[in-house]
Parts: sequence; C-alpha cells; structure tokens
Amino acid sequence: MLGKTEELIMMAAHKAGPKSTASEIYQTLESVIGKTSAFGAIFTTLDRLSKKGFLEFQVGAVRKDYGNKAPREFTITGNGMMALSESIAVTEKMRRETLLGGEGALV
Amino acid sequence: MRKNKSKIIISSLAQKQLEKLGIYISQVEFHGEGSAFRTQTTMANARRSIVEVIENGQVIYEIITHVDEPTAFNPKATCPNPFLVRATLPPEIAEDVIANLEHYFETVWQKNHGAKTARIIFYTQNFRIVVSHYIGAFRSALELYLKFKK
Repeated sequence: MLGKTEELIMMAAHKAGPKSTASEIYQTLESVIGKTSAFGAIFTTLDRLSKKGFLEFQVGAVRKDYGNKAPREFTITGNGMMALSESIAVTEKMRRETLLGGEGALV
Repeated sequence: MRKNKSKIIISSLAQKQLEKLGIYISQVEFHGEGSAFRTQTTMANARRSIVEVIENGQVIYEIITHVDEPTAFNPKATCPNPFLVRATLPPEIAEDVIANLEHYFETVWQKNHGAKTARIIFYTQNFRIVVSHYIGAFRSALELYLKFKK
C-alpha cells in the first residue's frame, strides 16, 4: 500500500517517463499540482520506493545541465505500476463509498 | 583572467583606431596647403575612421559590461557549495543529490526567486535532505528491529 506522497511521486514519475531524474520528477509534480512538499523530501521518498522495489534506478551518463555529474535515473517497475493502480483503486473505492452516495456517504 | 584578456582586446582595438585617426589628421594637415581633391579625400578617410572608432566603442562597451557581470556568462559561478551533503551523505547518494540540487538551483530557484533567496533555499534544502535521510535510516532500522523482536 502506498502513502499519499508516494502515490503522487509514483504518478509524477510515470508522467515524467522512464529514466527521469529526481529533479524532473519534482518539476512534473510541481507543474501538475502546484506548490507541494519541499524539494528535499523527494529524495527520501524515491529511496523508500526503490527499496520497496516500486522504482528502479541506474546511474546515468554525465550531463552538462547537472553540473557535469551523473544523476540517478528512475523508472517505474512492473510491481510499482501494480501498486500504483491498486492504491488509486482503493482511494477511488473509498471516495465512491464515502462521498458519492455509497452506504454511509456524506453527500 | 577574463578581465585581463578583455583589457588587452580593448587597448589593442583603441590603439589601432587612434593610430589610423592620427595618420589621417596629419595627412589633412600636410595636404592642407596642397590640392583641394587630396585634402577632401584624406578628410573623408578621417571621418570614416572616426565612425569606426565610435562603432568599436560600442563593441568595447559591450565587452566592459560583460566583464562587470560575470554571472551573465556563467550562472554556475554563483551556485553555492553543497558541503553539508558532501560531508554527511554516502558518496553515491550525495553525487545524485548535488547534481539535482545544482540543476534545480539554476533552472528554477534562481529564475523564480533571484540569486540571494535561491542560495537560502539551496542551503535549507541541503539541510533538510541530510536530516530526512538520517531520520529515514533510523526509522528503517527501528522497523527492522521491531520486526525481529516480534
């Protein structure tokens, strides 16, 4: 089960495409939902997701726009896509049941 | 280094043009009492030389303004030193974090907030990354310990 931040970062990583850097993922996240968690927070989440096996990374080539350094490039794994779908489905089910007229709904 | 190089360019440009102008002026003086055609030709040359001096003046001005603003050429020159990340995180993570921080500093923070605020954000994020890394590591270790204890 993914946490909310993890879910958002997984979606941003999916939108940013395979082999995207932490900075690109954060930029995608910020461009979609505006001001979000701090830039520093993304590294811990990415590491946690990598440890869980939802993201895989490889150290890419040296890039000029990254100060002639080689940033890590993240890609969503198959397990990651499954976990993301499951997490979204659970949220959607909760929304339907609680907000959109299900049993005990608020509306 | 850059400043010295520009100074050399400026002085050689100015020297050449002034030499040319001096020659034409002396020719005008020399031909002053001679034929009217020769005098007119040399005066036209002198005028052209003056125009060249003015045009070069613009080039010189551009060089000077660029020398005064080194950041306009190289924004990386202002990128702060990520010493905290380098000193405290494992090298493979530190390399990635620094690369991303530098990229974000140049492409987003500096553009959106200006150099001074961008530096503050940079250092704050440096600190935050280090703290959250070690809190994360502690949490993982604690979870592992509790798992084995059960």
